Amino acid sequence: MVDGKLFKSFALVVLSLFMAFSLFGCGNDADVSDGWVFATDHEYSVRPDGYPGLTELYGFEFDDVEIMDLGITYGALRDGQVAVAMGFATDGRISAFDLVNLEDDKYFHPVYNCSPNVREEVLDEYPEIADILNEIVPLLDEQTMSSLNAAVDIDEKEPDEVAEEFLLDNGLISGAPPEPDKGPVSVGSKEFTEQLLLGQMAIMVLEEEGFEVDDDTGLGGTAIVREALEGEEIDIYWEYTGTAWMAHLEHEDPITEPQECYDKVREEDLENNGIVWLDYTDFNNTYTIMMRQDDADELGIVTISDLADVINEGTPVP
Amino acid sequence: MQMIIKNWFRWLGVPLILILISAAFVIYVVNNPGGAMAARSLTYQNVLRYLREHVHLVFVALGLATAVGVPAGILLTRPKLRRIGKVVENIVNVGQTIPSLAILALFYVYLGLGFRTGVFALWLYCILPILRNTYAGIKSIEPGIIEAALGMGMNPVKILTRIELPLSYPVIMAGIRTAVVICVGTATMATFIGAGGLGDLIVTGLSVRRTIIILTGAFLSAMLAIILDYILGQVEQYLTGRDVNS
Repeated sequence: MVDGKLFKSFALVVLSLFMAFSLFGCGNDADVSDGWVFATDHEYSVRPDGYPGLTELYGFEFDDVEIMDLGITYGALRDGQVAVAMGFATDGRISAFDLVNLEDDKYFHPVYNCSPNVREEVLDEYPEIADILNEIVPLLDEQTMSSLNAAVDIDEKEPDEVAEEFLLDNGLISGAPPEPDKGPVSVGSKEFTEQLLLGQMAIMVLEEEGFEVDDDTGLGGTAIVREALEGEEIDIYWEYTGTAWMAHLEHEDPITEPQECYDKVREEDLENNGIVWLDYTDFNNTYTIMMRQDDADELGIVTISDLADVINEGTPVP
Repeated sequence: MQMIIKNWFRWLGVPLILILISAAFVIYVVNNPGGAMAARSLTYQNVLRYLREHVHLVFVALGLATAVGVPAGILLTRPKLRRIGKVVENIVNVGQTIPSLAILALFYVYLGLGFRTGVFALWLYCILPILRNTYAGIKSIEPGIIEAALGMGMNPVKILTRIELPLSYPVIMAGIRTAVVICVGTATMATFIGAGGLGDLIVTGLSVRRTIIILTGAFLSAMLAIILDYILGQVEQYLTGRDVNS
């Protein structure tokens, strides 16, 4: 068995293995696909309220769909590896990376506007809380919320610093709250950036009006915070209309119109659970379809319908 | 050649049966997805695309890993490099303990996402068993045999080609086969960095809780590993004249 012939055949095999392996691969390099390529996470790619429904409603198809982890769709879009991507509407990276949310003009995505939830008993005791918190709500549009999130996620500031700065700029607090003479009330929140920011804002405006406030922000996931509110361990937290509609009120079909969703949730939650929904924000932390700002400007794309038209006309990616 | 023709069933029949089983499975799940959600994911077009991407990733990574791993392993056993051989072997062993997902994530940070990053990370991961086995295979040859060869007046090149390599074929081939199996499995992780492959199916199924999608991805990936390993086993057997698959 130790002979030259064997060696030759061995070398031949290793070499041909290598050739077969590599040549097979090099033929079709699927790395950078040109054209209208869409980046999506795994879930959105198959959900009926995700990519399949979106393209059906708006009547267009992307040239290709790249599936990847949710967190990296923003970077893929910024780096030009795809032309369009999905993400969450108020993510800080959207403004930081010069991306733009396309308006969902046919109301395809379920709505997730945010609103302070207060227990009815607390509001009966301190009715002024409603006015105090409602003062913040109109300030929070998508652009604002997104850049506040970016200040925490990208610039690595602390949520309470960012919240304080924002409220000071808008003249809602003086920076020196008075001695508390009311309360205590407890403010909770979920544990991601946007929720921490909103929680801190609620705490600060309440303190400004003389409340003693317990900081219970960053409690945990949706279910935990909601349970804490129902169990009277906290008095106030910010919830999203779509989340309440589907998770807490246990409806199956999403509502895609903000006012309708808010009205239904407010009515049902007050009646069934004694939870009062104050005003709702303009920002809507739902799925979003994003493009690079430059591309969108160049092609005059503002809404998803515009994008559908551009793609259907066969316009190339800038 | 004679051996191949004589054993045509082993060379072609068995892989063909495995491929037919996989095809039957795919046809079954595409026609019986058990729900609209799974049906959207499990179309022939999608499944074939993911499979093609997966094979693509695995083949390029393995081809490059073989091309680098075997020569590097040989080099490390040369007298001049023998001293660093031990060090490299240890580094390689430690490297193999890093989770594959961590390697992918690490290279995502530096190389961005997509196919190339996936191939690079897989290549790095597959090179380890090939290099280690080549090194170990040659090192494990009894010094007496080499001395005898020297005594017969063989030069180092002849010793390598006539003694060392032929004697270490089985170990080297075992390394390549290990790499194939690792590579096919690890390539499912490449989905996280947008490199496609059967991992798309597995993670999609996981995120929408549809077992059949996960099962399809896992089954095809396993079949791919089995088929490639089997074929390499046949090659090994042909080279050494030993029956390794039974």
